Amino acid sequence: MEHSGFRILWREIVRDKLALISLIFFMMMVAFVFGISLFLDESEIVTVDLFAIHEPPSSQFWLGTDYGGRDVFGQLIIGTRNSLSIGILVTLISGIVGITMGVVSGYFGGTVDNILMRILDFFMILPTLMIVIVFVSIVPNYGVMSFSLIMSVFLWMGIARLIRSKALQEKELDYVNASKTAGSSHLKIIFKQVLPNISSLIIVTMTLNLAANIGLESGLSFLGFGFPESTPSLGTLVSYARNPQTLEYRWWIWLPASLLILILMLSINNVGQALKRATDAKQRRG
Amino acid sequence: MALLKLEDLHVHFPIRSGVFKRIVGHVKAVNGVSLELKSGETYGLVGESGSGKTTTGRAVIGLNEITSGKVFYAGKNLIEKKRTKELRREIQMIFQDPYSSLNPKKRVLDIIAEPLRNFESLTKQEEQKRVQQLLSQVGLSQKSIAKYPHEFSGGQRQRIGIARAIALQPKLIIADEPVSALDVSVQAQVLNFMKDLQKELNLTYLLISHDLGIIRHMCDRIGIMYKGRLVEEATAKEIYENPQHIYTKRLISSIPDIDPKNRGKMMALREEVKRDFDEKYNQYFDENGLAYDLKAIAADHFAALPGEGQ
Repeated sequence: MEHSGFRILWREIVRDKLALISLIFFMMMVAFVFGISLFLDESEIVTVDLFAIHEPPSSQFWLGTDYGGRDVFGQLIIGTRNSLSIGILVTLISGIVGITMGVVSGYFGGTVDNILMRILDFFMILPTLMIVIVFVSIVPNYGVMSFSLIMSVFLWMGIARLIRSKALQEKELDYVNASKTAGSSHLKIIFKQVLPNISSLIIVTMTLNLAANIGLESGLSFLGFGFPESTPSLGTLVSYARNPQTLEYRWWIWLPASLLILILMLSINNVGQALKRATDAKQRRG
Repeated sequence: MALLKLEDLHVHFPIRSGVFKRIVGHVKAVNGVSLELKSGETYGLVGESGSGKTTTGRAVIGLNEITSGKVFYAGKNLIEKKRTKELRREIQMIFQDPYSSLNPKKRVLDIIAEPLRNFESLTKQEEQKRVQQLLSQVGLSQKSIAKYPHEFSGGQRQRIGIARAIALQPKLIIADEPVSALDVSVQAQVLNFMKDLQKELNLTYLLISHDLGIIRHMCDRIGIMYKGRLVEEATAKEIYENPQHIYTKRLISSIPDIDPKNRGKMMALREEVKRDFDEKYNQYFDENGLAYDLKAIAADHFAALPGEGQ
């Protein structure tokens, strides 16, 4: 695509009202959550208070309390921050690894490609869920960072394959040969010449991956293999709903978190879909 | 002394097949080519598609690996020694397709300055000055510097490609079908401009083309390639007026004549040459269908004629 790739992406978002609203909402949500959580005292929120168990929403506890008397609103903010951090970190780490592997594999081709793709195949066949669950049980205290790292180990392959196929196309173009005769090193050609030409694909894939990765932690926490209750997250809040009493009578504990997951994933997905359309001239609205 | 000398150059590509990607054979794209380029001349390499002319050019500049043979540049063997920086900057290339040979994400400044950044350490101002100088040399406006390739026409793009090729003041330029992607009206413009540049910078061209008109217009000496081998090599005049090899004869007879009065004559001539070609094919090519080695016919005329002479 031409140089104004970023402008085309931006124009498509502006033309698609839903995507624009989603983007603004997501940005505000991120700013709000990370801003508010600065003023919240995490240790106080996760402290058990036996005199305030299962309080319904009130002026003191905006979203009530859970079975440990902990403020649900505070947990929601900190939980959203943790879940978002995981989503963003996993996307970035798996993205960087995947892009590097993909572009190197595609650019060099031949033996290098063969070796890297076999390594990739190895990671593809690993039973992800089992290994994550084992990891969670053997590591005594894990937080956002270690969780993101272990998840990234299993999530870089998709993007690597995608980038590889695009890099295979790009390296056949004459501008790569021209750079070679101009005396540029392979490293320079890969990162300065080839990478800018696949940047729009990278942005689209990373955005769509982000939507998926935010739900990642919630799923595991719901199954009981995510964070402990001392580290609130959207997943831990939703998992309270496994108790039928909570599910039926204490909506304030799990409903806000569930809705938030839904809205966050939807809004990122809307943006991602608009970006994806922008990369294909036939589907553009703008 | 010759600036560039190829001795028995071979470039073979393996054909792989089967589960284990075993090598089952070779495509002999270039199969024993020897030629010499004198400093300051334009050497034309002509041939049909797949005759190995582009591969020869790409092998000289190092984009294709050489299977065997020798490439001497100014007396130095390019194969034995690793290409030094100095050697790399003296051989540059003009690419066939002006659309894919310029990176669409880069400004003209970055495209033309790329070789400068690799070989010379210039400050930002010096670099900008050099690029502007190059732009005026190829006849583009100073404003072009901040534009992107898609803002230019095909002919202008090819000029940007030429500016990049001459940025390092090379001695030898390999021009791989430099105008075949352009309109006829722009072709002449770019070719004449290449000629002027040659005089100005004392360049040596290895011009690869399938267009006999362009070759006649540009070249001092011509080599005709067929199936990876040279079948005839001579000065431009000799090739066009006194072709010896049947393949050359057939190629020359295929040049259209602009005068409609000659239509019948030309058709008869072509028929005759074709008959000749079909009849004598086995005589001019060995049992593998390859041309024989070049033999001297005159001082500056070589042809791959069969052993028993003319």
